[in-house]
Amino acid sequence: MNDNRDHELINRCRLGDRVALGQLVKEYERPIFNAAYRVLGKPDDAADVTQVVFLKVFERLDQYNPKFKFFSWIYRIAINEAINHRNRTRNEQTLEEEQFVSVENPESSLNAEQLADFVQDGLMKLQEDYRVVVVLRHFSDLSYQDISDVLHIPEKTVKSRLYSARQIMKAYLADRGIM
Amino acid sequence: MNTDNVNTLNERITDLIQSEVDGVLAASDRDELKTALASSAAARAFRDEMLHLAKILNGMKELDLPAGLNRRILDSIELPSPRQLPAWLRNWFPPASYGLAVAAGMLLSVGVVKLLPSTDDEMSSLVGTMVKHGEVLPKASRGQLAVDLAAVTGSVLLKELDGAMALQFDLDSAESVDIDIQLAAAGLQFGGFADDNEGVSVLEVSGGNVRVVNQGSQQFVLFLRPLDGVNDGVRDLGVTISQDSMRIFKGSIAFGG
Repeated sequence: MNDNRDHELINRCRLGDRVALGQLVKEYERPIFNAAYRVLGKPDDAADVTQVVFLKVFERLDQYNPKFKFFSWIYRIAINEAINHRNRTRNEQTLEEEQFVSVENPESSLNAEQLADFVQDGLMKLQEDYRVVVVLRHFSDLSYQDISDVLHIPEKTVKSRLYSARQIMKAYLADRGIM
Repeated sequence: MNTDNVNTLNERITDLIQSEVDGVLAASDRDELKTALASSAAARAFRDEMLHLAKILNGMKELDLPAGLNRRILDSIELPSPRQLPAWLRNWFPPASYGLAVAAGMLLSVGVVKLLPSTDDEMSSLVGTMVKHGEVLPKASRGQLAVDLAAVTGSVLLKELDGAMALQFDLDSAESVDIDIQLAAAGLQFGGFADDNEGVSVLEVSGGNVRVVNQGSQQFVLFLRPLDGVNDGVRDLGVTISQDSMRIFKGSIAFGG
C-alpha cells in the first residue's frame, strides 16, 4: 500500500481514467476479498461484498479526503459492508455454523485445510468487533494504528479487543486439541 | 495454561507480551518483559500460547480471488463523469494495446501550410515554429494551444486537477499527422491514454516523449504525472506536429507555478 501512488491513481480515476481504475482495483481486490471472507466465512458472500465495496468506493470518490490513507478508507467500507451483509443473512448462517462445532481433532493430525476450517470456525464464534480486529491484525497485517484508523477507535481499544479475542480463539482451539 | 494463571498476570505484563507478539515491543520495554518472563511461569506460558496462536493465524493461506471477480468489479463501475473532459470520452485503452501499431510509413505527402495570424498575447508561451511553406504564427496561451494550419486544425488543452494532469487533443487533419509531446523536458511522465472511438494509428512512449500518429478527427487524452523530484515552478510542455517527416508546427503550453 503506497499512499502517493494510491492518491495519483485516485486523481486519475476522478479524471475518468479507466486504466487507473484497473490498477487500483487490482491492488486492493485480493486483500479486500480476503478480509471480507474472514469476517463472513463464505467465499461467495465475500466476492459479493468485494464487488459492492468497490462500487461504493467509486461512487463516493469525490467524498474521499486525500489527507487520509486510501487503504484505511476502503478497509473501513469493506468491514462495514461485510458486517452489514452478515447481519442481513445472520439467521440462515447460524444453523450452518452450528454444524461445525462438534468436530474435534488434535492439531498434529489435521491437514492444512482442516486447520483452516477450525480457525475460520473459531473466528466466526467471535463477536463481530473482536473478529474484525483479529482479521485486520492477522489476515490484513495492519498495525494497531492502522486498525485504529480503519475502525475509528483508540489504539488502546484495539489492543484490548485483540487481547480478548485472542483469549477466546485460544480457548476455542484448545478445546479442539489444536493448542 | 488455565484461566487462573492468566488472571495472575497483571495488565502491564500481558500488554508487553501482546506487543512482542505483534512485533511492536519497544526496545525500552525489553528488559522489563525479560525480567517478568524469568520470574513468572504464568507469563512464560501465556507468551508461548500467544506466539503459538499468532503463528497459526498468520500462517493461514490467503484465498485466491474467485474467477471472474475482477471483471465483475470493473464492469460494474462507472467512473464519475470526467470533469473538464469532453462528452465524447467514452473508450479507454491501455497504452500497451498500441505499442506495435501501424508503421510510420503511412504518413502521406504534405500540402501547402498556411497559418492564421495571432496577437502578441497569444504568443506568450510559444517557443518557436517551423513549417515547410508559408508564414508560421500559431495561436497559443497558458494551458492551451491553438493549431490553425491548412493541414491540421484544432486545439490542445492541458487540464490540471488535484495534482493530476490531462492533455486533451481535439484535432482534425485530412492526412496523417505525427504528433510528438516532450514530457520529460517538462518534468512529466506518461500516465495513461484515452481515445474517442477508433483508436490512433500509432502510440509510442519512449525516451520521455510520446508520439501519436493519426488522421481525420482526432480526439484523445494523455494522462500525465510529474517526474519524481521535479519542482513545482512554471514549466513548458512542448508539442510538435509533423507531416511527411517535415515539422509543420511547434508550440508549448505553460503550466505549474
